[in-house]
Amino acid sequence: MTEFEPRILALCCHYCAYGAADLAGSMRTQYPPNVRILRLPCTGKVDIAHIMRAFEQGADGVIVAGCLEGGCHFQEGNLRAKRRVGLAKRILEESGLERERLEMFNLSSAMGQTFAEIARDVTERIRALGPSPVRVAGCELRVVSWEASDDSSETKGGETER
Amino acid sequence: MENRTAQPNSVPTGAVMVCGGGIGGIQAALDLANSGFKVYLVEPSPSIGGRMSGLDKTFPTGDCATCIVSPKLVECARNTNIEILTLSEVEEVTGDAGNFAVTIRKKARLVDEKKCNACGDCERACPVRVPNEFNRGLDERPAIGRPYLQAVPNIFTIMRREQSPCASACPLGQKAQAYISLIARGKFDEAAAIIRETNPLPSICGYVCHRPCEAECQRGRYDEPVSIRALKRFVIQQASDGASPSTERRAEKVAVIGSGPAGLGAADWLAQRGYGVTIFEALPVVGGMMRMGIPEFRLPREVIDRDIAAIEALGVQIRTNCAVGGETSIQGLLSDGYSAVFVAAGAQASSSLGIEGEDLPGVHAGLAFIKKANLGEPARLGRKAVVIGGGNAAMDAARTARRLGSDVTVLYRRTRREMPADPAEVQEAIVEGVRFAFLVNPKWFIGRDGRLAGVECIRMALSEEKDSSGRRRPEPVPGSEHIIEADDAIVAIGQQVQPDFSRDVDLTLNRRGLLDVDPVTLATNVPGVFAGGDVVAGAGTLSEAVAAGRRAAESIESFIRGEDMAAGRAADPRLWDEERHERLEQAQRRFPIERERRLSLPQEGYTEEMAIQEASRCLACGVCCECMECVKVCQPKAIDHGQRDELVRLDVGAILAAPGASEFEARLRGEFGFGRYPNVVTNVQFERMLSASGPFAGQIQRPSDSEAPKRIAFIQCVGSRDHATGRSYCSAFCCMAAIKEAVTAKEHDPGLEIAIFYMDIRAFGKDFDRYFERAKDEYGIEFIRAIPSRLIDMPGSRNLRLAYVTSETGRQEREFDLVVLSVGLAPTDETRRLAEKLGIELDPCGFSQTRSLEPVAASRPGIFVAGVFQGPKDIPETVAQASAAAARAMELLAPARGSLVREKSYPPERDLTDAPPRVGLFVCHCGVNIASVVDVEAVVEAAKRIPGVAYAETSIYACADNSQERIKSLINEHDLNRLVVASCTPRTHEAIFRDTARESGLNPYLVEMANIRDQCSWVHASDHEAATAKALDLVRMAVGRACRLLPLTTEMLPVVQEALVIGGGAAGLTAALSLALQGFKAHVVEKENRLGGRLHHIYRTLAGEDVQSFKDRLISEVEAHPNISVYPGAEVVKLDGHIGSFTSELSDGRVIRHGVTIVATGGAPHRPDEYLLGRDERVTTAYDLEERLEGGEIGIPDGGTVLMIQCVGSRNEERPYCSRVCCSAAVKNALRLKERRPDLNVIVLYREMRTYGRREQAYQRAREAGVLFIRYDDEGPPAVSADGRLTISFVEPSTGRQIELPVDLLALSTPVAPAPDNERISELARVPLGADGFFLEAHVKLRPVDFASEGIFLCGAAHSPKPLEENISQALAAAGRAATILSRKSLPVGGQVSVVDVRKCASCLTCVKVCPYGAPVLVGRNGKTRVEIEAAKCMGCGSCAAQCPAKAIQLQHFLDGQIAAAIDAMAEEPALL
Repeated sequence: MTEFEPRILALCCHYCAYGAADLAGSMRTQYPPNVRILRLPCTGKVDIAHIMRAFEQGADGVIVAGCLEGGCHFQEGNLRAKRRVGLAKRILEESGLERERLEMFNLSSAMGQTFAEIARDVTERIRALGPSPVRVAGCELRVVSWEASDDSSETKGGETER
Repeated sequence: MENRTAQPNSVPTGAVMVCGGGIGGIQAALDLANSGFKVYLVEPSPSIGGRMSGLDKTFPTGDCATCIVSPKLVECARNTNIEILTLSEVEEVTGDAGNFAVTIRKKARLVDEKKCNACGDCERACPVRVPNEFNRGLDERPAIGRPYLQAVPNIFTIMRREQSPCASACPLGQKAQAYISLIARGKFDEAAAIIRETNPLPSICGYVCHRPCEAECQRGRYDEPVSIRALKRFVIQQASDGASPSTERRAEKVAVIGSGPAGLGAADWLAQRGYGVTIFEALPVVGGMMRMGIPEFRLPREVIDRDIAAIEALGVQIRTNCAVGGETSIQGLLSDGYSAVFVAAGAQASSSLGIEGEDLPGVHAGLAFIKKANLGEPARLGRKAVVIGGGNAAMDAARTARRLGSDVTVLYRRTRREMPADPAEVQEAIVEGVRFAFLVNPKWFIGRDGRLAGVECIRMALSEEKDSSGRRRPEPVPGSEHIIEADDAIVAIGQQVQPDFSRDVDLTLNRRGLLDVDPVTLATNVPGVFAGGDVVAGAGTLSEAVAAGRRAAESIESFIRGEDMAAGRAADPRLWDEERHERLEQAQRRFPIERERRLSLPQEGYTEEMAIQEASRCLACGVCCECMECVKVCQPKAIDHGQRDELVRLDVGAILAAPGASEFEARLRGEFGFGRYPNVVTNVQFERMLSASGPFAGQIQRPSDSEAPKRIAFIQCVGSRDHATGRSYCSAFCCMAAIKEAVTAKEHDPGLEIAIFYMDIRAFGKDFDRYFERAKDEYGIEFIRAIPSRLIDMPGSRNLRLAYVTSETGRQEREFDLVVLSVGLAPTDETRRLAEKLGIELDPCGFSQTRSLEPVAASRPGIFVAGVFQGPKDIPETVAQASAAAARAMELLAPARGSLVREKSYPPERDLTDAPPRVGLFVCHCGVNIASVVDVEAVVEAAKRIPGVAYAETSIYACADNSQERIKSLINEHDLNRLVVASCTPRTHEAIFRDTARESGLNPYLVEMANIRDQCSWVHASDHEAATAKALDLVRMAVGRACRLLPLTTEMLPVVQEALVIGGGAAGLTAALSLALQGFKAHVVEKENRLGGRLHHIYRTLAGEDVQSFKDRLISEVEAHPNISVYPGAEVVKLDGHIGSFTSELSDGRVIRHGVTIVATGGAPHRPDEYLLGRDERVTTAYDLEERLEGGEIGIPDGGTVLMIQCVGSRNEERPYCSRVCCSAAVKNALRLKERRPDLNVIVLYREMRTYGRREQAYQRAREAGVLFIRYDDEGPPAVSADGRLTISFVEPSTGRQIELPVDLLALSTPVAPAPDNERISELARVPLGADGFFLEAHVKLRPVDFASEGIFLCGAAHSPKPLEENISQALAAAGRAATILSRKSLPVGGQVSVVDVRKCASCLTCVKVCPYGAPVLVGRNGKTRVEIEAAKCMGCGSCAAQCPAKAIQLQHFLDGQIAAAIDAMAEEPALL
């Protein structure tokens, strides 16, 4: 049997964490290829629903990575994210998933090495936890979610009334 | 002020040159470009970013410097109206304010800016390592690269200095540094190839070259030169064989006479180019002097054979036993079909002494003697032999004679020092038992029985007079004749030409008996006949002969082609420049004795390890060694070693100089041992150590042993406040920087012990004192007020023992593991040169000369200054000053605003209504950067099956111009409506692809990138399979998102091009006047009935300028200006709206519409109830004292005492901030007092003198004038009693003694407090206040005059207390920033902003609480309330969307469905590759 390779989603803010991940590249710092980064303008945009969506879809772990505390480009988006991540951890636990599958990190865009370390540590941690129970059982995890096709309420361009 | 309203006569040019790409220059450039001016940003280094890009954190907030500066750099690079000219310097400035013509020298980058895509392949190929200047020498970098990873422009640069001395010294132009560097990296084949490029006899040279390179090697200045020859020998033996023969064959053939180095040199060159070459050699063996003149023990015969075989392999024919001059003749060769003849017959005859007995048997000609030995038929020698001469031939003869069994003595008429022989050879000879008799000259050879029996010699002495060779002339010492017994004498004093070859042609000989040739072409007087080597130059060296051969060969090719042989060539300096020749020879002789031991070492040759070690000693003098390894690996062909400097002419209306400053050269303070003690570093180095992207990846380590230090000392004021080194100013930022570095270090390692040795802690800025207190209390950093006197480097541990003196404890010593010198700012030669070119004055310290009330105007009209070039300051002040200077340039150029900027036009957007997504996917190879790890073809093939992908292909470089064109045409051809580019990071490249999309009629928001380079191939280089799978995942996520992306439109919001200025003091009026001069309307609201505010109470600046007349002029200009409306006695009571469109209501009912708001409400003087103020008329405040000093009598008896107490009511619990102005005000008043009444005693009681920047010089002047400055402790503040006399008592901290002083006048330095109105304005304008009650700017470092809410600015004491000149700077800055909005008729709003779905909104106001920008507002309509988000205020972070409990808010471009689509795509089971 091949070794379990965790699939980890990283929700990174544009200014700091995503920049740090780029810097890890420029510095050619090697880390395991298990993390896939999704860029957001700010971790303040991270919704518990996004995190749960990832788990529901079979992600084995989720990282939320924002600016250093006090260094958020939008004042305190990362602090809001921190609270939401805390809440999401509780929901995970209540759903029967390990809270360690989700973690928030703070780093500046100059911390390329740190990003690589985080990727290494989290990959190891999730590897130790094993595959997400959602993936194993093929069961459904529905906490807060929506249909990806449900765009009806979303806005299209400038048409929406403001 | 006076030149301010004067407009230039002609229409000004709507462009500005900004000199300096540091944070100041960047800010100014952005402000100018964003308000309608073309900007040329001229930066001497390869990239912008300045000193800030090298910082780790910033004080006092601890923000990451990279995080905050990088977006600015990118913004600058993207701005279409900013042209960045890097590696550029101002050459000349002509013209006047409004119309300058500037010439710029753009230095060669040696890399094509348009082609380089910063992949970094060249960097890894480069074999050179030099100290990394960006990290201040803490690590090394290659010769090609970027100063730092986030550099903008993101282009590589080759650092190349003059050619390295080793290469310049080589007659063959061998690129010694190149092959040494390659050897150091273990690239032996490449090194050998470099050698072979210009050397046809590499193996031979590896043994017997006279190595002029080593004589010039700069490493020899420190210890010993790099053993270049030995390295060459090693690498040629090591490497595989060289070049294959040229495939090109030419019909022409050339004859070469002589198979020595000159002949072979020519033959090789010509054969490489396809000419048929025949060498005619008189002897039965090949190699000329190399075989005949050099003994085998020095040059093994197989080495000669190896090189010659390689030349023969090129097709060169060698005919031995074929002397030209007999049967074969030059004329005959020419008529035989040889196009040219090269005579390289050498100098075969030995020179004779011309003394009696020279023909006796037993006297041998040196050359003939060696020749015979080399041919295997050596002469038979007797017991004793003498050798006459001091050159290499003499050494060869002596060592050969020694091998034949004789006792050998060398007779030389000068001393060992003058011997031309290679010292190594001399040393070898000594080792072998050869004796030397110096200062001896033979007079005649004594014969006995018809054979040599001895030599009569005379002693010589060196006279002071020098001969033609520059050496001291030897003179015979009369009466010193003596006889040396000898059975044999070998005369090795020189060689001569035997012109046997020229029997049938009339070749001209010169007076030295050598062939006469053209010094450039080596052509003889007979057409088609060329000559070179010893036959032309006399006995020379191997490499010179080869060089002559190649020179002749080049001429021969031109001759054959009928071209001008001399075109573009210079005369051979080695042949004809005697002086240079001599210089090299002397350098040869300079080898110190101790070097000789080493020189004899590599006889057996190096091992690989030894060679690499030896090569690593190279200092890389030329930096780039021109090995061309980078050219080989550069796929976009961007590297151009032939690039030249360019002159660029710019027409600009104004010039803004913000070139910054360098740091003080720490070596100048020798007592701290910088540069000698390994564990003494500067604050700049320490900052780099702290940086996560620094040399040690954020680890603090000692340079000596890479250990983590436990005890660190900071020494402040190194090169600041230092008259001894001519730095009489305070550098203003170092106290805070040291605190920041100490705090950051503690955060890295809480166990660190850190002590800061200081004179005064100058924490004078906003929130600085709080930071200082936290450093002490929370981080436990020790602050020691002391004068460090000496630093001792401890042997063994390399710890440092610091001796220092404190006033309390006297002399002390303490040991530290690492010492950080807080070096201050220092103007550089570069900035001095710039000032000279710009024609502006500097102060004696080298900062630009400005006046306090005109803080950004240089001495020449039309030129403005900012940043530390203007004087020491920190980042926020620099940024504010930059905006201020920009504002002044805008005033000057107002009529030309918008004349030179361009807006790009795009085709109309295609209508995508109801169109299903058709994604075009482009997967970039990035040369080998992605493709060597990720199987890009496989990614494309797999991606084609992803729903929505209509077209997919790979691209070598997706960002290249031609790729962009292809993408555009494919979009049209395949009717694509989404663009996904899988390449590098969107942080740098998204703008490019968005532009591509727009150019093909697609909305820019329909572009998505997958970062498969920075976040995939670069970080998973060894796992190709996993990297490819991840790349496909990232592509799938991007496609998933792309399919759901929607076009976003921006609306144009009209701008009310008028400003509201709240406050009519110095700041408000200055801002309003600047805006008015720029052509905008300004409304000034002042709650008092008169304008001027605090200006009414200030009379002089510290420099002595008259403030009252400044005030009067300012008020009258404001009142007279038609663009300004003034509302005295009025207050703003209502303020609504947003950037571009505000509405305000005044207390008199008037309504003003405006596009921007400037808050300039000033501060309020705090009047404490302490020290009998208001109760005793002898107690006053500094302000009142100043007023009194301007008036009549001071009213103090002769010899009386005036005492000032600082920090009364500030830096206490109630007001924990420093009021910044009071120390300078005290100095100002003290100086004025001493000036008016020298008889008075003036005493200043202070806690810390915070006379930052150039104010320090006034503090110094005050002390010199006799003002007494006495410190008092925070613990024991002074007390006052009025028992008849006014008496001050306090504890003098250095003695601990209670001191009581009777005084006649007590002046209290009281702080500036926040204006009482601040809270009301804060609520009105919805802008925040800081903890001390002053307004809080958007970002303390980079947005010092902006509020977080767009369109609202602040300046002056409303921001924090500051002196008048800084208030003026900030006010101008606010005007400059405001102009970026007011200069537009309309602003685009929308795009990536949040919107509310009114059907879901429950008006819970969560979003209102969450948003830091006040964008969501509650509106009532038709009796119902709901929330709207004002697009103009929304910054697009999405916090409200994530927080909204009803999910009623969505952030455009990051809709939940879009994010979910990407998440779902990631989670899909990976498709089979």
